[in-house]
Parts: sequence; C-alpha cells; structure tokens
Amino acid sequence: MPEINAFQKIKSLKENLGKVIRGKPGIIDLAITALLSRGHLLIEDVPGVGKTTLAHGLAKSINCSFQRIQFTSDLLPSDVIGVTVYNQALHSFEFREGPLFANIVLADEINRATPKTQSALLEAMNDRQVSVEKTTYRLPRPFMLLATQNPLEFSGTFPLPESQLDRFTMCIKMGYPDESHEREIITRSASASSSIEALSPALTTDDVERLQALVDKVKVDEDLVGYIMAIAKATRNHRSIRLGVSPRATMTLYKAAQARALVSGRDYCIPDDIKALSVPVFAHRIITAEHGAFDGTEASTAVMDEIVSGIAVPI
Amino acid sequence: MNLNAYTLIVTYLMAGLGLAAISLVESIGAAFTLAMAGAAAFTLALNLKGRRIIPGAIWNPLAAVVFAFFIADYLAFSGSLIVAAGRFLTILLVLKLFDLARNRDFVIAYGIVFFQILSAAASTVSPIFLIILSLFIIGAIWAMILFNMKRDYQEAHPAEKGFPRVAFGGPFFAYVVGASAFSIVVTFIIFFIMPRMEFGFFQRKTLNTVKVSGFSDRVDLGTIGPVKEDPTIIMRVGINPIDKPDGLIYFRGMALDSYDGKGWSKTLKDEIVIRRNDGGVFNLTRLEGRAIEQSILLEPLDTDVLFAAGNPVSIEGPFQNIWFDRSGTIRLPSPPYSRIQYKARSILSPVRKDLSMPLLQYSDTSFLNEGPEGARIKALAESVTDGALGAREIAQAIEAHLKSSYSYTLNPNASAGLSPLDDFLFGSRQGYCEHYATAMAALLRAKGIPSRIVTGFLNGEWNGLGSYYIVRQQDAHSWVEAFIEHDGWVRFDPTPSAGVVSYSPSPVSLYMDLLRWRWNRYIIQFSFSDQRQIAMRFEGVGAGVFENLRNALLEKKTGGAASKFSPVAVVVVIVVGLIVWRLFTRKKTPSRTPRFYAEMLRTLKRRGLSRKPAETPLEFAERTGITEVKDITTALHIERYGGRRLTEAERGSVDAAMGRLKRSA
Repeated sequence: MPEINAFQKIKSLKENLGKVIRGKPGIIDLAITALLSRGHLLIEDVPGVGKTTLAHGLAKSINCSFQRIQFTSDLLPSDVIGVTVYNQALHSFEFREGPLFANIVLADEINRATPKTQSALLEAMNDRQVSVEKTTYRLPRPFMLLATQNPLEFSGTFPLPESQLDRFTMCIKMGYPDESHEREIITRSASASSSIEALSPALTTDDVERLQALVDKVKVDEDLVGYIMAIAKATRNHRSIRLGVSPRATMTLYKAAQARALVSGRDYCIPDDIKALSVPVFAHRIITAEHGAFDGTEASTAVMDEIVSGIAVPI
Repeated sequence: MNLNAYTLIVTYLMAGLGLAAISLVESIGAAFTLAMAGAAAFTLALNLKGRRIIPGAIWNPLAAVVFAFFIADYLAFSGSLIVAAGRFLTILLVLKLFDLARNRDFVIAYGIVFFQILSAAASTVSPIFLIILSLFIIGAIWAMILFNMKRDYQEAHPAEKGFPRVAFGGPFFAYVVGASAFSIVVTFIIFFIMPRMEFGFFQRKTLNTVKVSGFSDRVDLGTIGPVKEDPTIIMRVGINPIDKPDGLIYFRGMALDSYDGKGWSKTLKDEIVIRRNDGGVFNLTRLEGRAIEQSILLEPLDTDVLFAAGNPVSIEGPFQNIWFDRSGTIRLPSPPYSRIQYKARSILSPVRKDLSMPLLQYSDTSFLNEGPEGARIKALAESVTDGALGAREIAQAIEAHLKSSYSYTLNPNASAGLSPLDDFLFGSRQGYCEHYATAMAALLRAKGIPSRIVTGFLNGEWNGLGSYYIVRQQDAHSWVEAFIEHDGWVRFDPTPSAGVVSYSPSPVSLYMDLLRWRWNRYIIQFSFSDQRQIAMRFEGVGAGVFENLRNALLEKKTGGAASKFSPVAVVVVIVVGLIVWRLFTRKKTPSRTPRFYAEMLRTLKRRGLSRKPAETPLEFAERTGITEVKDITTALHIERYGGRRLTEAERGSVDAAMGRLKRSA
C-alpha cells in the first residue's frame, strides 16, 4: 500500500486543476493518468475549449517549467529541439536548447507542422531525450508532451504519421462545457488568465516522479492482462479495422490502467481501468477500413466501443 | 411483452395440445372438440385483456356440476370411461381457462392438460400423438420456467400489480427445445431398456371392440355376408417375405361340426387347456414340416378366437393360458378387449400329418335325412361325383361343381319357404362363401366323407413395404375341411374366385398403414421379449467387434494381412482413444471468482438481474443501483484483483450485505 500521502497528493492535484478546468473531472483524471504513466497526451478538439488551459494548469500545479510551441507549416525541427551555434568567445560550438526542453510542453496544432518537424518529436516522446549532431541531450524529468489538433481543419495540415500517433498515450476530446459551467466560465473570464497565474503548486516535480514510480508497483491480475490482450486481438481481427493496435499500444494500456488505478485511489487494477481506458488509448491508433487520412477518431471510437462491449470481462 | 403475457401464451399452447390430444380419441366428436377450442379462444381474448366476466367463486361449484355430468355421461351416454373422461377433462380445462387468476390456477390447468395427454395415450394409436407428446414435453418445460419466474417475481415484489416487460430471445426457447430433445432421447433409451410389464393398467378395456361374426360356438347362415363390405381392419399379420405363399393364404379361426338346417354350431367338447412352457410358448400339435412364423397384431374383437395361418403348431403371446381343441381352434379364456400382439408358427403343408380318427360328429348326416331335401342332396352328390374314385377325387369333384355351377353374390334372392341350404342348391342357386361351404360339407357328408366348416379370413391385402397382410372384416371367409384317408384333414374351398376381395392400394395408403403398423409393433406393443432380442443383438455386435479385434491383432503378430480388420473395431478403437486423450489432456481451469460474488450473481439472477459478460462488476453494480451489490463488488475488487484476502471485518460486512440481499429477494 503506497503511503496515504500519495493519494492525498493526487487528490490535491485534481482539486488544483479543477479550479481552472471547470466541470471536466474525467478529463482531469485522464490528464493526470497520462502524466503518471509517463505518457503524452493528444487533445483533439475545436479551438477554445480549454486545451491550453489544461496544459498550462498542469504545469503550474506541479510547479515545473512550461513551454508552448505553436506549430506552423514553416516550423523547423531546430525551432523545436534547439540549434548548435558558434560561440565566438569560446571558439566552440554550443547547443542552444529549444522550447522542447521543459517539463510540460504544449505542441499546439501539431498537425500544421511538416512531417519532418513532427518526426523530430519522436525521440523526445519515446526516450525523453534529443540527439543533435551525435550529442544526446536529456530532457528534464518529468517530461510530458501535450499536443492539440483541430479535427475540422483540413487545409494546410499534415496528418500525424502512425508512428507518431502510437507514441501518444491517449487521445482525448475536451468537449464543450455544460451550460452552468459555461456561464461560470464567461463571468470569470475577466480574471481567467490571472487565475492560471494565481494557481499555486500542489506537487513538486519530485512528487510526480515518486508517483510515477508508484504506478509501476500497482498490481495487475494476470487475467486482466488477458483482458487487455483480448481487446488488442479483437482490434487486429475486426473486419472493419485495417490496422490493429501494436504491442506498444498494449504496453501503454497496461501502464495507463495502473496509473488510473492509482488516480482512483487503488493499488490494484480493476477491469474498469482497462475498459474505461481502452477507447482513449486504442482508438487513435487503429485505422478503420473506411478511414480517410483526415478523419478524426470518431469512426474508430465507435468501433472500439463495439469491440469492448463484446469482450467478456474476467471475474 | 410482459412476463404474464408469455405465461398466458404458453398456457394456451399447452391447452391447445391437450385439446389436440383429446381430439385423437376416437368417438369424442369433432363438434365437441371444435366447440371447446372456440371457447378456449374466447377465454384467451378475455385473459389478454385482463377482463373477468364471471366472478371466480362460481367455478368450483361449476366443476362439481361437470363432474356429475361426467358420471352421467359415462353411465348413460358414452359408456366408455375414456371418452367420458376426455370430455370431462376438456370441459374442466376450458372452465379453468375462464378462471386464470391465481398462480394455483395455472398449475391446475397444466395438470388437466397432463391428464388429457394421459387419457389420449391410453386410447389412441395415431402416430400424430407422438408429435403432440413431444410438443407437450417442450411446452411443459417452457410453462414451468415461466411460471416459476412469474411466481418469484410476485414474491419479490408483493406490492406491484403489473409485471416487468421482458424479452425472451430465441436462445431461451431454443435451449428448452434442445433440453427437451435430449430428454426425449433419454426417454427413448429408457423405453427400450426398462423391463416391460406384460399387462399395463391402461391396456384393459380401453378400446371399442370390433364386433365380428362367425367366431362363436354357433354361426347362423347369413351372418358373414353383411360384413363382406366392412373395411374395418381386424388384424395385421407380419411374415417373413420369403415365407409368403404364392397363392392365397387362409387364416383359420374356428371349426364347426354340426349343422341344424339354419346354422353351424360346435358340439364337440374336446377343448383342453394349454399352459405355456418355460420359454413362454404354447405348443399345440406335433405336426412336422416347414413352419412359417407370423407376427399378428389383433385389433380388439369381441371374440376369444385367435387366428393363425394353416395348421398352427405353437403360439407365443401375452396370455396366461389358452384353449385348444382337436379341430385346431385356438381360443383365449376370455375375449381380450384390447389390441394384442402374438406370434404363431404354422405349417402350411405338413409332412407328418395328423391322422387321428375323425370323431362321429364330423360325419353326422342326420340333417340330411329330414324330409325330401335330404334325398335331393344325396341324389345331387351322387350325380356330381359320378366316376370319382376315393375321397379326394369326390371332394375335388364337388368343389369343382360348386365353383362352376353357382353364381357368387352377396345379396342372394332367397326363395320363400326353402331352407338356406336348399335355396342355394336348388332354388336361387346363388350365394356367398357360407352357402358354398355349407353345401360342400353337406354333399361330402352325403357321400359319407367327414367334413367340417372353418371360419376365418382369406388373404387380405399384402403390404410389401412392411411385409405384412392387412386383414379386414370384409376378408371374412368360410371354407370346408374334409377328412381324407392317409392325408388327414384337407382344406377345400368351393367359393369361386369372385369371393376373394381384391385390393388395388395406393402406395401412400400402404405407407401410412406401415407407419401405423410399426408404431403399434415397436412402441405400443414393445415387449420384454423385444428388449431381450435387442440386448442379444447388441451382445452379438459387441462380441463380433472383440472377435474381429482379436483376430486382427493375432494376424498382425503373425505377419498376416489385416484385411479382416473390422471397420467397426477401428472406429471403436479411435473413439476410445480420443476419449482417453481428451480426459488426460484437458486442462482444468477452476473459476477464480470468489464464492460470495458467484452467490450474489445467483441471487440477483433469480430476481431477473444478470451480469452481461462484457459488463465489469462495477458497471453491473451501478446498473442494479443496489447498495449491497456495490459493497460486495468492492470486496470482489479487493479479493479478486487486489490479490488480498478480506479481513474478518470486511468478510462480515459482505455476509451481512448478502443476507440483506437474500431477504429482500
């Protein structure tokens, strides 16, 4: 049993984020789950629903550095990672870190950048390091990339390659706030930016790293591993899915389920952890038979729902 | 549809089956059945609308009235217990359908249907009954399941008046059909294995007996004629196809020795009781020759005579003892009144004959001497047999004369004032088998040759599909037996071939009759000896398999070809091998579900709540909305997925929650 402290810390993190993201406890839980599973988050939604606020609030709450990169079609990899410049005083080349060197990075409208720039993120996301000219630079810990993409704008966008998508732990939708929360948001809007600024840290980066270590210790019953495999297998054999999920995806679901258990105040997984995460973790990774390059994840979400509702839960 | 509607529909299905079964009982009346079906349909409309037209209290007195009617029906009108009981049960069922209020009423309705099926079983031989019975078994299972669900629901929700809407999918009905099919198969296995009682309770006096003529101690002339157009089936005689004679086959019934001018009677009192030997066989005579075996299914007749072809030598059947006389008549102690099955061995042309001396009555010529007719008959006999040498030639001459010189008709124009015999010989010169046979017997006796009249059945309709004769009332016949020296009693039939009923059956009717014959033979009359035979056949097969196997193995060892290796043995070895392999390789995966959770699922299932396979325990708990279920689910999480044993306190609270859950159910 992890110290009660851990659950309290997660609780206070949730409360802290709840101050800036109103009426979206599910989204907050998923974001924390992604953070604790050492994952990255892809937020797919229309502009103005609070994607940036979520990323910024998360950074503020864990008292860490935050960078925002606005992706555009002329953005170069060096603009993200950093460049090597010649230091005339020292007569040597030195590396100047790009905006990627932060604990929480918000890649806004990631699909506007060229595949070349998008790919520059692969190593960072997977290994939490970047390599420039034979030198590998370690990114700060914890490191989490939040990317947003607008599913409705097609012109001037480059769809994320599958390898990139596979590295995002989950893809979530913010969704519109309900009426009462929207009213509250409007009336508070004058002080909205200041409320983010006023957010006090709930955790330290050390706390986050300790919680991430605790996630690894969350117990997962072997039958639940079987459950994960059954879902993965179903995506690979489903007739309306062209590309099923990769082993990386099943590993990710396993880890995310552990994190969700901890976020829910348990030190063991239950089937609901897997079932609830199977759609956000798997849906963006599968390619449905009628999939168009610019389609959102709606079709694959529907297929995933259908798959999960047909797989027996081990009890 | 709600639970009540399902229960109603299945109840009406059952009632329909009961009515259908009762309608199979002969002489219950189609009008009666239709009227009752109409009344039942009317009650269905009432019940579906939930309307009452008559208060419930009235039905019990009404049932008493119907019972009184039943007694009256039995004693005064139908006279048949089965028919009266069938009507009684049917009216009772319709009354009950008017009064389907409490759960008890449904049970009573099912009980009545059961008795309807039972009474139909006792009296019908229609193969359709088998279908009705199968449907009844399936329907009864549906009815019981639905009834129990309904009652449990009512007990769980005493305050509610209505019923929940439920949808029974195909699987529910399909599983029941599957289970029923299985149980029917098991029933059939038991049917063929359970030892048979020789006399069933329902076997006695259950069928309307067929009135037959010509098989009593006295037969007046003119009694067989009227039945010569009656197609009622008297018996079916199965014989081995290779034993089928090329010509006509005579089924002997009764032999009569004395003629008194009006009819024949049996005056000889030489009957002896024959008891069955250890093998269950009644041995009659010691004739020798090639015997043909007949399997005879005799309809219920009002005579105690048993029929058999040619000269019967032994009888095997469900009788305690039988009576047999020197003239070859076989009789039961009393008429059987029910359909009986027996086997008879007969010799059509004996090699060693029965040459016992004829008794006086056979050559009694007294009736010839009365009046001038006697002299005319004697004169006729002399003129017909002029030049014939020996008894056989005389008999053949008389037979030929009668065949050719008299016309066959079933409606002879009797001349007034003459005795039947004189009218036939000298008056109208027309008649049917009885007249021909009587005339021949008289002419033989005029020549001093002992003769007697035999009544029985001639040939009937051959059903090649099942290798049996269908013998009808209209096949009734009488012929003559004359005692020929060195040959014993020899059959002569002076009736011309016009007297033989000819059949041109359609294949369909033959096939239908074959079904009836098989149904009677293998279901209704299935006996202990049949079981013994089946067992012996299986024993033979089994022994054959092992013999083959042993031979094959021995041959293998000595290097011989295994060509004689029986395919049956190969299959047996493979099947046994597969079973053994399955037994040893099957991995056992015990359920890891904690017992308390499984128990909770069972408890909830009884209340109509069941977890879908793809539903997580938590989702299920949320769906039920029951606090106890949520508590138990939390405990399940800890023990099943958390891998930690529950503490005493947790265990206690689970038990408490379970207790509350059960009490509320």
